Amino acid sequence: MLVRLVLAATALGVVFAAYRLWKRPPRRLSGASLVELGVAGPAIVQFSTRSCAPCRTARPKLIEAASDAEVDYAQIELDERPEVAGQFGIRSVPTIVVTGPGGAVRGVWTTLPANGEITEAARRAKPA
Amino acid sequence: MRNLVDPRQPRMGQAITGGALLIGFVLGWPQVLPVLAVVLAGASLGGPATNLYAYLFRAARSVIGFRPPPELEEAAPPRFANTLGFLFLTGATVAYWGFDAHVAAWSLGLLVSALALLAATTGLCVGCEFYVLARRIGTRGRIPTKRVVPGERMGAGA
Repeated sequence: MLVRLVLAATALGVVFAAYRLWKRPPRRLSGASLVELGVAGPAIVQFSTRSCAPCRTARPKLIEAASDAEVDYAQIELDERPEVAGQFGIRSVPTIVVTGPGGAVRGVWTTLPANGEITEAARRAKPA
Repeated sequence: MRNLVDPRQPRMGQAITGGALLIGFVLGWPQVLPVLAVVLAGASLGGPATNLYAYLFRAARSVIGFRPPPELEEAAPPRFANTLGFLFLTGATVAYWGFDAHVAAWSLGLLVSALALLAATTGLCVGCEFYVLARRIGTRGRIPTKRVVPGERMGAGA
């Protein structure tokens, strides 16, 4: 039974490690500009799909965060523009991005972070 | 209208599937493979009427008194994931009893268990991702593409 326990733990460990790798914020987004997607200034941007329940849950919170930080909120549906996912290496939804002037990416999250973090990042992304 | 489901229901099903397979493997109970294959066949092929997990969830909801979910999700992706789980566990059952390939059978069983527990604990349903991928491939060129992106943009304080 001990051998089976070790094997089961290994299988679970491998799958959860792969999950952590999968959920890493995409490197291609860091330092990119979203101006070609129509995001030209400070904004909170959510990349989502229609079947993504966590995205729908995150949406009102992100809209509120954008309102608090006085920046735009934009949502990009990857069902409709799958090429955007390929272009920026987006593997999972929601992927949440805070942009600064010129649509430059200032921060990337693959889950909705704790309260206030997005708002604070959006405030810092605004020009002084 | 698309069928929608309380997202906690598939999560509960995934937790039961993953947990039962894991316990079955550790304790050496291969019977768990065909039993769960049948349960997942009911959930995937028969729909809500034969989904044991849906009944269990409704029973749990009436006993515990869950609040309504903040959001519903599409029923099709978790149903597709159940179909994949059914196929894998059927393969595991055939491998175990048909070919005495115990290692192959339990490898498939552990894979299903690990992915089900991953979905239950993190929300990343790999089978559902395959549904999205299959749908994207199957409908290429037939989904209207929005040329104006962001599709929704709100001014500050709007």
